[in-house]
Amino acid sequence: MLHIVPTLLRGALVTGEVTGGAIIVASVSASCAVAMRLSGLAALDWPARVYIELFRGTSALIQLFWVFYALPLILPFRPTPMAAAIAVLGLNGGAYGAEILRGAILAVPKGQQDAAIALNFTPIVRMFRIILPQALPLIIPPLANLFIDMLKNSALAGLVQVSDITFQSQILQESTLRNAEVYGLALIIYFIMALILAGFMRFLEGCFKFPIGARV
Amino acid sequence: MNMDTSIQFINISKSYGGNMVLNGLNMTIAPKEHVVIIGPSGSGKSTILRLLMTLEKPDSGEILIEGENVWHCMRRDQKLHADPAHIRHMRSKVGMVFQHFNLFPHLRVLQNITEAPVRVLAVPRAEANRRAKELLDRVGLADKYNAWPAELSGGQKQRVAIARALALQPHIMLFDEITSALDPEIASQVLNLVLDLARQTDMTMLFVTHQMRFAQQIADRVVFFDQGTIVEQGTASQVLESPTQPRTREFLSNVRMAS
Amino acid sequence: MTWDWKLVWHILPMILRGMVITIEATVLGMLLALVLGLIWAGLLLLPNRCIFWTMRAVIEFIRDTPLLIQLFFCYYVLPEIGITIPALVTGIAVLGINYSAYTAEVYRAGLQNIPSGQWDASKALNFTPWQTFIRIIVPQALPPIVPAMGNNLIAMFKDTPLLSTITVMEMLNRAMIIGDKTFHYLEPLTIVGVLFLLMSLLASGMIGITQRTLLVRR
Repeated sequence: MLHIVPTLLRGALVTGEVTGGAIIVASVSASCAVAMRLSGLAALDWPARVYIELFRGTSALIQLFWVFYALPLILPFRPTPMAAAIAVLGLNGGAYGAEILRGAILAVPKGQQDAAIALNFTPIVRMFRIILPQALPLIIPPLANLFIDMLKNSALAGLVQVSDITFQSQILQESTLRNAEVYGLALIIYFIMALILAGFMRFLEGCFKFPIGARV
Repeated sequence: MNMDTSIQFINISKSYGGNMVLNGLNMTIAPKEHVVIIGPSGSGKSTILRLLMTLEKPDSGEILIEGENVWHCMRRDQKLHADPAHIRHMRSKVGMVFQHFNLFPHLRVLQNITEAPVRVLAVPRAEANRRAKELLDRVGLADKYNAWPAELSGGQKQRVAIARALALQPHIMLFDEITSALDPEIASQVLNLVLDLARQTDMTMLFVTHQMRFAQQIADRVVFFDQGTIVEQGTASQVLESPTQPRTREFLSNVRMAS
Repeated sequence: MTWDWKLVWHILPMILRGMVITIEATVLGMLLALVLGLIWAGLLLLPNRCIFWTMRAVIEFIRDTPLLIQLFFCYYVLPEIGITIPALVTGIAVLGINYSAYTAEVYRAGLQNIPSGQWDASKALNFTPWQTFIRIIVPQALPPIVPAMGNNLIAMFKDTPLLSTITVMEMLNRAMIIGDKTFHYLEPLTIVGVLFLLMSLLASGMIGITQRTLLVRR
């Protein structure tokens, strides 16, 4: 039991790295995809929709294996396990994130857009000062679920040689054969990490609340 | 810049999804004129205001504000689409107050009013705050500057909305059924405020409203609009008391029945 | 690009055999999730607070931990306590239990959306609780539940490749075996990806049709 916990905790650090990196990639790709979809230009809308449907319609594990095993056969380089994991999990999360962002932005009442145009704000100021602040309370709860899903998906990284909790637990399983302890502890560590993440997202939710009353 | 006319609609057509809302509309409004547009729902009245506020683009025709074309520029006899900077320049002359107020719920009252002057006119924030408090005082809400919009009543929200539109000092003010969402008692408070504004400023004002008594008090001209065209127009007493067109008479009698 | 079409036709039958396992796992797993979820939803409605909070904790734990580790846990630990079952059965069981945590929530939300007035009116009309449930409550609760359950089905379908890690011969496993043997990973993995994409698009379409049909019947 004694050396299981530190090994798994070392893996937890890597899990955190992978999840954090994936969340950053997802934020960027989701923002780009939403901007493309809401631009009103068909030439931008179509690639964004293809990206979203592609990554939402296939399994994260297949995407990961494809990038790790199949892509090097087409491209002249082979990505490191960490890079592949962060890129794939990030793009996967970004596809779901784009739809969350889009739904929330479209849910802001149209009158807000009218008022912002009437007051002659530029489109950028309209989005960042008027629309997005009102969309944020609608974004954070589903985003919290998405981030926890991404934490769980990070477990797949261990299957492509990233030294995360999964990877360490596989090694421990082979060397100690104490299956129940190893995988039980792994589950508990993931659970604690998820609770911390959920708590942080609830805190964020509180930061962006404003009195709504009757929606005007 | 031609100051003989404030607003000109020349052959404006607009349809929404196969439904022709405006068909070859021609209308000229003089500076400082107060025009009230009345008519049944769906007749295209609000569309006129929305086109003027550049919330919508006409399918065909020209809109001129103070003699300048809004959507097109003439360059060596060629009519080109105006660039965004020009449209924003034209838009800055117009202000609008909406039926459902459209206050920004995530900003306090003072910030609702100062946000545009600060970000659009680059007014320093301290100066913008000072002017905003003056405007709030003018609409009778000086003590509400730190409140959230959700804490205000409907009438208070509309008065803040008026102050917010005035903060950009437009030449033309548009009022789109501003009391339709308010209780009658509150509505008259807001309308009295607007009457004061009309007397104290030089702004051209355009109203869409169902309040006939208000129309009589404020209008230099009343326009009866139905199915996308002007049916009849004239002074308030001409149109409201002795209309010549049967459709006008029918509409007015229905309105009187309802109130 | 070194795409080998001959290889594609050669390996397609093997991968399709894997698809049968994939579909089997999805359907049986979903059935289990539907049944278990209903039981959890029922338990959550009981007035006993102990049961309620235990259930909530268990459901939260299942939802917040990776399915992959849950699979490993059951695959390695169950034989130790004397339960020797085929890997596929383990996989279906874990899928079913994992997703029952989500279906329970769908049931709970669906039942909660029925206005309590419906129960009152039924009592006034002298329906038995069972009749009320079957004839009044369920038909109203069903239309919003169906798309949510459908989305869970698609999600479970996309999770079946995880079963390859516990030796189940579904599509991804077969693709990787082909790749390991021939060093041609591109064709098998791409085929599997395309098949998944087609099937989930098909499933999404069918959910949409079912939802519209159910709404029309109201």
